[in-house]
Amino acid sequence: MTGQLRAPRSVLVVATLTVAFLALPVLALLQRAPWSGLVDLLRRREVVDALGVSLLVSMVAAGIVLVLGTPLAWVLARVDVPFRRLVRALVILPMVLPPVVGGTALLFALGRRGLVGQWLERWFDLTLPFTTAGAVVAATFVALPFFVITVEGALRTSGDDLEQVASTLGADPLTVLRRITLPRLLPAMGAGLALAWARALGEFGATITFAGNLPGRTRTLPLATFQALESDPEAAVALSLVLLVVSLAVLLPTRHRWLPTQ
Amino acid sequence: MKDGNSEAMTMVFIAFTLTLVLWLTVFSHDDGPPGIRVLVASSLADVADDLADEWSSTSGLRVELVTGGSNHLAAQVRDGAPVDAFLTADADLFLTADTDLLGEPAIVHELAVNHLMVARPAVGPDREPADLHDPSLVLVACATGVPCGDAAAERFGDLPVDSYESSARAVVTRLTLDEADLGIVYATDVAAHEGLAAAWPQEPACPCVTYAAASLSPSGDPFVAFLGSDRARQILAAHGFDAEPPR
Amino acid sequence: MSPALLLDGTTTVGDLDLRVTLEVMPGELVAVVGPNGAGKTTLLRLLAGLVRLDAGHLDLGDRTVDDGTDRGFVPAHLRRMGWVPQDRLLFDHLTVAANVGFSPRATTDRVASLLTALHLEDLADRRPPECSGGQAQRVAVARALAADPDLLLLDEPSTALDLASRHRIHALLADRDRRPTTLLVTHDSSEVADLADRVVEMTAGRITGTPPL
Repeated sequence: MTGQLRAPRSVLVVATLTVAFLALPVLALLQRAPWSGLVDLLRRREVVDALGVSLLVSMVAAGIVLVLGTPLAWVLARVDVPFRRLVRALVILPMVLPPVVGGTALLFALGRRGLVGQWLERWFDLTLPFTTAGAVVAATFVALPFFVITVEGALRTSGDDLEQVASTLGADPLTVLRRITLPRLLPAMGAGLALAWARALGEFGATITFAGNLPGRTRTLPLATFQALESDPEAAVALSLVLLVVSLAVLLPTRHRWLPTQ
Repeated sequence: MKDGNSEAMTMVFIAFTLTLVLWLTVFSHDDGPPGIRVLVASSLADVADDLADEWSSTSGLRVELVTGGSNHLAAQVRDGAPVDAFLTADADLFLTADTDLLGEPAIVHELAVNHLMVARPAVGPDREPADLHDPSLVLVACATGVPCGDAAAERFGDLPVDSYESSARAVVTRLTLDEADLGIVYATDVAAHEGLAAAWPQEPACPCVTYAAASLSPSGDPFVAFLGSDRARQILAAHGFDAEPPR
Repeated sequence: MSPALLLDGTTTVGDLDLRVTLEVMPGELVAVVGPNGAGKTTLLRLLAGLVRLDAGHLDLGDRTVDDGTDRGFVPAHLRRMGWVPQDRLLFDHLTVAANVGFSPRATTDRVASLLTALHLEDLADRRPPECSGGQAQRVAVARALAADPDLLLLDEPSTALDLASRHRIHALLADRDRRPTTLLVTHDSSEVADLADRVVEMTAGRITGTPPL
C-alpha cells in the first residue's frame, strides 16, 4: 500500500456501483438457475447441439478475423491509405450497425438473390443463408471491427521506430514484419482476438437474420436461449449458464495473453 | 481538509445527477390524449390497424398497438408490462384453465380463425405437395413454441426445414425476398402480400390457429367488447380470416 | 581514393530545412557538433535511408543511393549503414545476443568478438529491459557493428553514460581496424578531441563551420 496513489473516495464509490450494476444480472441468473435439474437440462440434445454450433462458429469466425484483420490493421496504421477516414469508418460500421440491420444487409449482399450472392449461387452453387458457413459469415462481420481497432491502436501507439532500426540493420520489410512487428504485436492481437471471439459467441441478430435458425446447423446458444425464453424459461436459464461458463472457460485461462499488464 | 470537502461535493453532485436521471426516465409520465395499450400478435397486425382505427373513430380514444410473436408478448405480460388488452394467436392461453400466467383476464373472445398455407415466392415456379419433402429446396417454417409452428408441426409432421423463424412474419419476409422456395405461413399472409402465392391449390384445413382477444384492465373492456361485434367481424373477414374453423 | 560518403542535397522535415554538402573519406571519423535542433539527427537519418532528399544526390561509395526521385532511392535495408540512434531502440522482446546478431549480415564470429570487445558476454541471454543505460548503449553499438556496415552513424552515444561503458566504446572507436568510416554526433568536446579526425559544425540545417580540433 505504501507508495501507491490514494484513490479519491468518490471515484471508488462510482466504480463499486458500476461493478454492482454489471454483476447484478449475473447474480440474478445464478439465483434463477434450476440447480437440481441442471445436469439433465444440460444433457438435452438441444443444448448440446447449440453448444457445438456456437463453439464451431465462434472459433472459425475468430480464425478468419485473425487472418483478415491483421493485414487490414497494419495497413490502416502504417500505410498512407487514400480516404483513410472513410476506410476506418467502414471498419467500424459493423460495430455501430444494429446487428439485425447488419444481418439484413448481409442478406441483401450475400443471400440467394443478393448482389454478390446470386453469382455465388450461379457459378459455384454456393448458398450462405441457412448454413453454418452463413453463421460464420455473420459472426465474422460483427467481430472484425473489435480486432482491427484494437490491433491498429496498438500499432499506432507503438510507432515504427523499431521497425526503422531493423531496416537499417539490413532486414527487408517482410523480415521486419515477421521478427519485429508481429512478435511485439502479439499481446494486442490476443486482446483483440479475445474481444472478437466473445462478440462472435454472443452474436444473435445478424445470425438469425442472415443464417436463419436450425438446430445443429445455425442455432447457436444465443438463438436457442431466445427461443427457449418463450416456451421453456428453465431451459433458457440453463443455456445462458452454458454461455457464461463457456465464455469464462476460454477467457479466464488465457487472460495473461489479452489482459494488459499482469 | 479542503480535499475532503471537494470529495464530498463530488459525491453529492454524482448522487444528485443519478437521482435526476432515474426520476426522469423511470417516473416520467407521457402526456397525450387518453388511450389504451393493446398487444397484438404479429399476424394480426394489419387487421388490428383497421380494427383500432374503426374503434378510435367511434370512441374517441387513442389505441397504441404493440406487435410481436404471441409467446414474446405473453412473456411481456407475464413480466408485468402495462397492457389493457391482448390479441393473441394462441387462444389456448386464455381458454384453458391455466391462466395463472396472465392473471384473470376479463372479457375473452374467440376472435377469428386462420388456417395454414404452404406458400412460395410469387416470382417462383409452381410447386406440388411432394416438394415439401424435397431437401434441395429451401423450406422455412415457424419455430415450435410459436402458434404457427405448433400448428405446422401437427399438420405436416417432420419436414426438412432449413430455418425455424420466430414468427410467421419472418417466414413471409424470407419468401418475399426470394431467399426461400417454400414457407408455411397463414392464409391471411398470402392474401395480404403480393410477393407471396399459394404453392399449389390448397383447401382450408385444420389444425389451424385460433385467435382470442382478452381484456387485461377495465380500460380494455370496451375495445374487446367491440371486437365481438358484427362490424369487427366484417373487417376480419375482409382480411381473409375465417369466423370459425372449417369442417 | 573515392569518398565513402558524398552528400550534396536538400530536404525538408517538418520545420527543418536541411541543406548540406558533405564529403567523408574512407576510414575517417567525423564529429558533427552543433546546437539542438540543428538537424544533426536528421542528417544521420538521411544517410541511413529513413529520410529522403528533396533534391540533390547522396553517394555511398560508388553508388548513388538517393537522387531526390522515387526510382533513384535505395531503401534503408539495402544500404550498408550502422545506425545507433539516440534512444538506442533495442528490441526488448529479444535477448542481447539476438539483438546484436539481428542483422542478416551478422556472422556468429563477428557477434562473438563484439560481445567480448564490449564486455557483454555475461549479458548475452538477458533482455534489454534488464540492462543498465551503459550496457544498453554498448549493445546498440555492438548491434550496429555486427551488421558490418560501410558507414557507422552514432547519435550522441556517450550522453549520460557511465565511465566504464564510455571507455569501452571509445576503445573500439579509436581502433581504426575495428570500426568503419564513422559519423559521430556529440556534445562532448573531450570525445571530439579523443576520437575525431575532423569536426563539422551544424546550425539550422546547414554546415556552418569546420572548427579545428
